[in-house]
Amino acid sequence: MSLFLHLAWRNLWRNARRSSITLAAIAFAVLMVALQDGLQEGTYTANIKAAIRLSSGYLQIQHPAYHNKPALRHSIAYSDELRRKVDSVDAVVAYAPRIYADGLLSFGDQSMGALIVGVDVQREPLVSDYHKKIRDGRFPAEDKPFEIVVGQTLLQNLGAKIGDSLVVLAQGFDGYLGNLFFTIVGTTKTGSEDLDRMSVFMPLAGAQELLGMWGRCSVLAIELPRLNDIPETKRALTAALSENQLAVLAWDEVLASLKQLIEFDQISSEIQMLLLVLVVAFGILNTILMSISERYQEFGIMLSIGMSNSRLVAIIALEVVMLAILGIFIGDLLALGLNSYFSVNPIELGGEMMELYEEYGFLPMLKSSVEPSIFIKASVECLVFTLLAALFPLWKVYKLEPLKGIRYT
Amino acid sequence: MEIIRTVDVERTYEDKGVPVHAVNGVNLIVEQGEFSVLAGASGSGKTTLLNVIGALDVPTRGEVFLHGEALSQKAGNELSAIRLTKIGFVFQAYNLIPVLSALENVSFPMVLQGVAASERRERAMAILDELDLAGLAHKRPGAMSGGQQQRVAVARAIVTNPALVLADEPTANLDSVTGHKLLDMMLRLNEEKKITFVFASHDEKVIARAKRLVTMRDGQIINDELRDGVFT
Ligand SMILES: Nc1ncnc2c1ncn2[C@@H]1O[C@H](COP(=O)(O)OP(=O)(O)O)[C@@H](O)[C@H]1O
Ligand SMILES: [Mg+2]
Repeated sequence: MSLFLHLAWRNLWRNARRSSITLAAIAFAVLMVALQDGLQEGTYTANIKAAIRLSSGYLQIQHPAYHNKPALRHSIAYSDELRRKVDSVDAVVAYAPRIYADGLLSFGDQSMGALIVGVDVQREPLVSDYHKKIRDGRFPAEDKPFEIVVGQTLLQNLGAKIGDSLVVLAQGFDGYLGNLFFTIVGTTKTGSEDLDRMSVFMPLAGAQELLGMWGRCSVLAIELPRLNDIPETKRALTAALSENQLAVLAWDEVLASLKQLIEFDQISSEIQMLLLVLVVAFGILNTILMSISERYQEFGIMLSIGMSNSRLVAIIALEVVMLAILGIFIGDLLALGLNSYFSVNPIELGGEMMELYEEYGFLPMLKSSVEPSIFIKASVECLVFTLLAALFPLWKVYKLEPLKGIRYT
Repeated sequence: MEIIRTVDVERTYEDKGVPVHAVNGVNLIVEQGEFSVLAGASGSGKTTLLNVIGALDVPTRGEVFLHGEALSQKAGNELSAIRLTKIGFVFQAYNLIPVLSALENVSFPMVLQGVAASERRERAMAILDELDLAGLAHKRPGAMSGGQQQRVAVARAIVTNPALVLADEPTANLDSVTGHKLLDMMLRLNEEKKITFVFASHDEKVIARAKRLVTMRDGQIINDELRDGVFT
């Protein structure tokens, strides 16, 4: 057996140039696939985490009808029982009740529509990054229910400034129109143009007062340690809340359009990579065919002295596998280097790319990832394609007759 | 003892729709210990007959018996096994696997037979020694002369103790002195170890050494004579 190994190994280096080209092609394919997947994985994860921290949370507990019709009557009771049940689930790091409602801001003779976000001033920072998005001023104080933070564009449009008071009008839980004075204590710059143009943040108590929602909230946003904890925790929460007529939604259900965007992007680049690997595979097919047809004479000798075709096929397959493994190893190594670099040093996008990304609500950057699954997928994909490329040449060897190669006259 | 018997063997090739009767009705018996040469002009069918005898080619009609067994009944892998165990081949040139040393080349058939590594090495070394080729053991074919390569090929052909060795124009690419040296070696193996050789050759040196000369023309045997009356 070891002689066959030697034979295969030495055969590889007989035409070192060709083997190197094949090696480089395989390594290149692995590198491209792993880099592409790494950048996607890293960028998606960064965006998903940003979206989670900016709006959905990892999981949300809602009224079953809320997702399709987010009205106040589809709010939920923020009860001790609910808190106890959520607390009983291990992976839950923190949770925060939120109220979402449509309202009207009135300042001087200006009025503008706004998205009211009522947050638990103490709990919210454990779940979202709203408190970090304060541009001027501060977040509302816990014991001041009628302080409000206004998105910076919205504030400009109103012509108001920090310290001013404004009136917030909204239709409450019971249908009556509520209106209350709030004092502007800060402005946000979230990075999301929509949020900055539309939203105001106020303490939960203020929102409950305004909307007649005492003891209630629209959703409960839940923080988890990692994205991978989502499916398991969602199951556990659903089980814990089975008697409560509540729905547990993951971020990708709450933000279904982001999920769709990612999936679409994934599919299109998957196709691109598949085409690239296919092209490389054809190149490999060619070099294998060449290296085989050059050796018909010695294959003929081997078959003549009693080697079976299947054994000859095994040797050639061994050559291909050695080359593939070596190429994959090199490709993975290069990809690991680049992916590590770009996971620590994201590429900041500027100009048109930046605008395009922001238009789709993406962070304007490319970040990579060194998740092992990325390298495994790239390796397996390229190994499979290399072996597929070898099938036809191997079949030719399997059908080779000894005399085909030995003809002198 | 009879090793080979061909009965009405024909081998017809199709050449652009025109049938070529490369071997056209050959009845030949090869006995143990022979040192026979198939002679004849180029294109007379020597190589084709040798290949049919060696289970490398399949007759269009007729039958080849090896040790009394009909080859036509054998499947492809059985023919491989027969070539591996019963027949040694020496071709005109480039017999050796380029990336393997002489020792490894001679070991190769034993690897295919599943002989243990230590025994392989021992037997291969012994043969190389016996044929004065020990100095080449670790050289690759590229570092050997044509004559050396042919002699290593003979070593490989006999290392499995085959029933017969088939050699197709083994001297064609060698100069006269080297050719004689190769033939000396084969003749010695024939006489000392009773190894059976069948050559296909139109080389005068080979023909001059033949103990039995089978002359072919147009795919048929036109003359079959024993020389010196040496064998029984
Ligand atoms: N594979 C083949 N296809 C077509 N014709 C062949 C083939 N092999 C041999 N022949 C023809 O068969 C005849 C005998 O060839 P061959 O056995 O090689 O003769 P020799 O070895 O005596 O020179 C020649 O006419 C040759 O052209
Ligand atoms: Mg010939």
